[in-house]
Amino acid sequence: MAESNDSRSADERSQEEAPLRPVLAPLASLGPSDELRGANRRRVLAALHEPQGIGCSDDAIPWWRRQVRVPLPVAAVVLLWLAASAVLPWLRFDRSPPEPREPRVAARTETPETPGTPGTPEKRQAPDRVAVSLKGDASFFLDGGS
Amino acid sequence: MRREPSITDGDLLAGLKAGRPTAFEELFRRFETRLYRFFLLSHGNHHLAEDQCGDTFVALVSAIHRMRGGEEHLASFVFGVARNVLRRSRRRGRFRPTSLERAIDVADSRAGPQRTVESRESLRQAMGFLEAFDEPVRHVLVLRFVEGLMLEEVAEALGMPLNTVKSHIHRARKRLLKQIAVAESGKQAEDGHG
Repeated sequence: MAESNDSRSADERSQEEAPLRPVLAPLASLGPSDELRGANRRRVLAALHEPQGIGCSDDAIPWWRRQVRVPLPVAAVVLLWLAASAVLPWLRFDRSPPEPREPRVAARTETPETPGTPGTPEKRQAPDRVAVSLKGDASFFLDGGS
Repeated sequence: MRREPSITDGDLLAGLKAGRPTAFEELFRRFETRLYRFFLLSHGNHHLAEDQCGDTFVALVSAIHRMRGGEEHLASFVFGVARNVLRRSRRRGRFRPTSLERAIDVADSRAGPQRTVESRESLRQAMGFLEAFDEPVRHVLVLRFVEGLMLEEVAEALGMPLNTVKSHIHRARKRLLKQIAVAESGKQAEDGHG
């Protein structure tokens, strides 16, 4: 069945091509000059004797001068991966949230709301100064206790 | 009369890959004229075609290692390299297409007393017909009908799908039949007036 299909398509193809063949056949009489034939032979013989020519196979090249071919997609993926691995640590460092400051935690947990504590409200609202005010309170209490 | 190949295709390919000068001699013998025609019919410039022919053989010296497949792919590989040479020379600005009909005097290998007026006219007509097509179609027609490559080889050499090759041939056939019809109607009109 497949063979009959093939032969039918070949017949159709030859019928399709039949008018074109006699029209284009005279072009086969075109040819180069004798000078060209000689010149081409000399050029190729010279190329054969060049170091980059065919006579210089990969086995004759030391390993550190050999080249390998890498498909472009593979090369692109490797390059992207290398670039990402070089850049990502820096990006991660920049985007990391700031570490919580110990004094602020201490201020929330350890601030005693004892009546009679004379802490100033302005100083409690400013987080950077909490530690200072705590110390001040502590010293105040210590001083008051003593 | 066609000369029998002195070495088989398999031996030729092995010899080319080994860099044997005899194998390259055989490659010359088989492809020199065909490559020259391919280039000449691409742009009509005889000298440029000669240069490109030499460039192709030099490129083949180093490119033959990269050839995949067996000896049945040799023709398509050689013409594929030729197509690359053509592209490269066009990028370098060496490509100056001229009228194909002007190339007849220089490139007709049978020019001389034995070339009759009639056969010269048929050559001129063939070149005129080919000149009406742009490059991909022209290459398809040359490789298929002048160089005798199979459709699959043409597709491989030109780096195009097989169906594209077939559609190019179909379009060329349609155009030819149209030209013939126009010529015949013109002839009939002339006869009617006469």
